[in-house]
Amino acid sequence: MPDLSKLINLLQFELSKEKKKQQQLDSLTLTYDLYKEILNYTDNIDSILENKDIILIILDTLDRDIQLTMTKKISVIELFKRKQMTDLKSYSNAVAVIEKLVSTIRKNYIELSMQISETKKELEKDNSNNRIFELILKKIEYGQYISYNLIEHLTHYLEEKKVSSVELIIYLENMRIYNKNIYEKIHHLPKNYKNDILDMLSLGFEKLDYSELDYNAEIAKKADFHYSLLKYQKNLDEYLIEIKNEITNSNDLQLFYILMINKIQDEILSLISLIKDKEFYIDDQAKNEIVFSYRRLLKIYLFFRDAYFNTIKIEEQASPVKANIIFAQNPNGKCYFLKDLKSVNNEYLAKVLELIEKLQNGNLANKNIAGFTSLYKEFKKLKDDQIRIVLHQINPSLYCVMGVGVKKDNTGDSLYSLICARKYPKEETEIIKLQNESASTLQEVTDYINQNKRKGNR
Amino acid sequence: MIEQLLNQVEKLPLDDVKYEIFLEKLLNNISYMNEDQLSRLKKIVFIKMEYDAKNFEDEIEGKIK
Repeated sequence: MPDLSKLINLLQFELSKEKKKQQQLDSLTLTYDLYKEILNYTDNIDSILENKDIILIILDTLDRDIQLTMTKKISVIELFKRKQMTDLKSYSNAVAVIEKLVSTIRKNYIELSMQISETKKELEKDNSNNRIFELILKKIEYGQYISYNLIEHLTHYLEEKKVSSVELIIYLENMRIYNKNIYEKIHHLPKNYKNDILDMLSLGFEKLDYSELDYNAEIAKKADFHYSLLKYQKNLDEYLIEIKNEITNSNDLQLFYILMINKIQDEILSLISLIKDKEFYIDDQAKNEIVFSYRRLLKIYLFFRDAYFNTIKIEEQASPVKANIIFAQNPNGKCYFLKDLKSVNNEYLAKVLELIEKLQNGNLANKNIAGFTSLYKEFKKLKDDQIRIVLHQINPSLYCVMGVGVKKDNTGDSLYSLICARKYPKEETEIIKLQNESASTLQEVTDYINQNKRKGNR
Repeated sequence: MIEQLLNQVEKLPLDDVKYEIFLEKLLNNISYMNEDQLSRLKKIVFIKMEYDAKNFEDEIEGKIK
């Protein structure tokens, strides 16, 4: 086994020197800024007296000796200026000492400026080497191949540093053997292993939404059950046929697929979070298992996704033929649909008209039309987003529009119970009367919607 | 023995299996080498490292494409 500990220590030591230099630079810059601040107030004695508080506070941090002397001399000058002391000689001496102190401060400031510039130059000079050392250390930490260019760069650096030949040879040979081991490992990896890891790290999913479908708790339980058994399924094609035989209702089948797809997505995402964890990444066995599980899950995910989209496609192809519509009326001859529209939020109105037009033109997607499974079997519903339009089919090309509402989580059943309790036309004469009125009612509906719909896209 | 080993390794093709064995023996005796011998060994190690690196890198590149 190659022993890279000496090399690691050497590189870490070089990097620690940079860190120390950076800290030193930060400290020098801070001191430099403080001196600069003091020099703003030291143009003349009056300015010093005026700003003595700030000057003395800053000096307390920088140089206590200067601060003490400065405090004493400022007191002398102040006494003299207040005429509490008349000794001109002491006053002149105090002014001279302060001027000398200011001169020392200026000298320190200039020296600091030079030191900062020197340190910056040194840091810049070492920067490219240090970045290479960091890269080499990362490669070793993550068990990755150290490229020839990096080794060559390091060799030049070591030669410049006059590292002894023995040390240099040992560093080089250890790196060669380390690389050889890594090479052996990579050589035995399955093809596309690295691509899989890159795929995992950049993977994103479209979350499929089932809010448009009728939620069925039985199907959710079934999905939980099947998901727990999924890992034991060897032949996915056969398994899918079984599922299709078991779930015949289209809504339920779509719901089942979406629930399964979402569960698989969640599991894949948790695998990805593992690969991002350093502890797992550097553990080769764990990494292999993660990649293996990812491949298996991805295959199942793609399988279910295809199955789901195929179902949607088949249904969309089987859209209904063009239809005529009439509108159900209450016993006083008022149109239910128009009355309902007034309770529909303006932002949904455009969608209502769109659904009606699609029904008339025969280009409804299958996801937009569904039957009822229980109490209201004689009705159908048109749906888009939260909008639900209830229909009664009189003959294959004639629908009676019973009403419209906005489905909210807690109003689903009450909405349908209200609309489906309405009377739909059964007598031929009644149907003919409504057919005659259909065009004008539709015009009223269109006018109302066009006047009230929210402008712009939602 | 060091001289003999150095002479042999310098003549060997870089992909010869004996290369690494001799190299290991030389490294085990590194503390007994003089400056000239160390300089020759440094060259040997560097050439071998360059040769391996080029081969590995070509292969690794091919493998991950």
